[in-house]
Amino acid sequence: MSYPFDPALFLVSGPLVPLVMDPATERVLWVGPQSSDLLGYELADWTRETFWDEVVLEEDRTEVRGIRARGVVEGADVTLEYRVRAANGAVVWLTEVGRVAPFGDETRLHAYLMDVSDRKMREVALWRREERSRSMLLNAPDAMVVTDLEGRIVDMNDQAVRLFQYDVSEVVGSSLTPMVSERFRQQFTDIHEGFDDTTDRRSLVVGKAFSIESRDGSEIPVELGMSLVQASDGSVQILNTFRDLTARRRVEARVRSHERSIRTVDHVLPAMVCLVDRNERFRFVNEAYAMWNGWQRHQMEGRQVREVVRESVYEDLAPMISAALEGEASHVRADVVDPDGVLRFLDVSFVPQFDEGDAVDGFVAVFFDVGTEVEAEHADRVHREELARIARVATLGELAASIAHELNQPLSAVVANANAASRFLAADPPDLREVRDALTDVAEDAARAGDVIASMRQLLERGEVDHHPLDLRSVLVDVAELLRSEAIMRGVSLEIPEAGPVDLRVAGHRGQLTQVFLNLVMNAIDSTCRLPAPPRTVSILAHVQDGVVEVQVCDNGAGLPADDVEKLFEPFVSGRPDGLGMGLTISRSIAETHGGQLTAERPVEGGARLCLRLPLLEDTPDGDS
Amino acid sequence: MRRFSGPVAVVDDDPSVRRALTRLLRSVGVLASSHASGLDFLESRAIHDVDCLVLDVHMPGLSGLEVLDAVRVASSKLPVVLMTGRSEADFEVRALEAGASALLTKPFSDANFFEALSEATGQSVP
Repeated sequence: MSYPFDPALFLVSGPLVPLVMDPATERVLWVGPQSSDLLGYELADWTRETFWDEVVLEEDRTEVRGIRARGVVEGADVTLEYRVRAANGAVVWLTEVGRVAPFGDETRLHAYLMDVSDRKMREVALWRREERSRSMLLNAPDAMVVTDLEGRIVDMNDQAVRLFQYDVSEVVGSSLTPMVSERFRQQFTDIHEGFDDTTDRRSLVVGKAFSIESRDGSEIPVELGMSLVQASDGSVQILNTFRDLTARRRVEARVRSHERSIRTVDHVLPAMVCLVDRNERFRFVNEAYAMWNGWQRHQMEGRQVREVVRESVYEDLAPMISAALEGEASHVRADVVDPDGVLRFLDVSFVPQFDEGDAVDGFVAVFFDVGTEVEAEHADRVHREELARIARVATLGELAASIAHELNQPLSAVVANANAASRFLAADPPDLREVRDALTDVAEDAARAGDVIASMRQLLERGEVDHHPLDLRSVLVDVAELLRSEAIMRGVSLEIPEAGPVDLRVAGHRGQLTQVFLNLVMNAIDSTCRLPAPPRTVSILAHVQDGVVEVQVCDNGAGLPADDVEKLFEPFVSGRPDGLGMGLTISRSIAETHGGQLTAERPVEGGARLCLRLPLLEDTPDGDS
Repeated sequence: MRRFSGPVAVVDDDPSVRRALTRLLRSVGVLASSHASGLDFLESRAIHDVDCLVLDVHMPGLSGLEVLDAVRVASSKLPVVLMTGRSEADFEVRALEAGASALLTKPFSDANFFEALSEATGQSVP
């Protein structure tokens, strides 16, 4: 047959490389000369028995042998693709099309080889990209749905299956739009329609707040992202990502409320916190601590403690710092003048920090401003003192009539004496002795009136409660004066202790102690005056023993309740119909602030006994106190 | 009116008051003595010797009203002036019912004092 061309040309040139192999061994018997362009090997290389084993990449060897063998056995054309290493070491993709044909008495495997590396590379790249996308799709934490430009679902990942509660097979080919919550559907469609294959491939939608409806109808808040991707067939698709915001919203809410409570705590009780390393460098300071020191946070962090805090403060803290760096925690209350000169009350804790090897690698120091607590304590004390003062005023109110009477006596005497004095002066001759006696009495009686007023003033006074040395007996005398007429009016006889060999010396506040005895004696009078018949007695006894001054107020009235006597000292328990019920509570509290105690007893002989014990104020050796 | 010249007994537990009132009485020429308690007075039998009694109501032991009762039992005619440091509502009524001849509320002026004495005794003081 004649051809319109030279058939030899096909054999020796061009991209197709012919070769002939022994079908049994695959040994190359002949290969066209253009093979040297193909792989760079000489004919002698090709015809080596081990040629294929040497050049075919190991991963492909089995397949190559297998397919060739099949072709031989089946007598069919086979096409295979495999990789070989060229003479220069480069990997070349070859496609081989082969056929078995008789040659004389033998058979030969005839094949053509072609270098398809370029195409193969493109394919692999595409495949790899697809694999990557698929992997991304599969492994992304967000739900991803791939749709075509019309919004029809092509594929979705497991997260999307879980989110929408549909299997992929159920939804492929249908539109994604109905799965978006109704109020967002128009927006969704609009965006989708805005895409076409000419759209810039950057993501056009990032972080849009949407919500979708899962199969069971529940609405889930999501963040939507959309971007264009290229499918393996070159078509443009849309990758829709849906980030479930439910969890995030929960966390956000928790963080917000946590921030609020931190800020509240910060506001109410600002804690200053710092982390210091082994080398006494600030590693972290919080805003409050930076502010206290008058520095910026970033300025403090990295600096040595000594560089930042005042020397005097460092000295005070040094023991706690050393202890912490040796692994010992400490906790103290400290009153510190802050850099503005304000006295602050701090609760200070040092907590060592340990590394994995249990070595100390620094410490955390926390300073709590407990000023409000200290102020509250102070306010409480002031309040209690005020309450006591009010009780005293109330007591005085109750005694007003008695006190007026007490003042009346000296006043009446003064009036009478003054008048008598004038008359004696006017007499002829004037009786100067009488005048002198009268005026002497006037002076004394006026002074007595002044004393009564002074006692009252003591009871009413405010201000800091200082303790001074005083003789309890004089307090008892005052009280007896104040209550004498009260007692008389009620038919009660009141006995106070006579002056003894030892003074009843204590350190105290006269007004407060007067209040205590007023209270005790009034109670005693109240109790005993109810007896139907005399004797109705209130007696006050005092003695000193073992450094303790004891004063007992006893009455022969009905006595104390049989059950819990201690209840008497509780507030708002009153035996008197118009009493405040605070008397014994306050009296006990006063006794305690004087370092003593107030107790109630039921004597064998009946009635009641209230005992006030106070520490005896000893004279110092040189007689001074 | 005849001028009153005593003797008067002043009964008050307060010594300043006793001294002052007896001095005042002396200054107008009235004879005066004093007792620290109702019991003292009653036991002294001075009741028979005095022409007027000045009696404080609020005293330990026997109160003024109790003394007045005792005095009235012994002598219904003895002028008794009752003194009180308190202005109690029904005191006047009770005092007069008990037989007081006149009342005084401390502190009182010398004029009040003499007026009460005059009222009680029916004589002029001074």
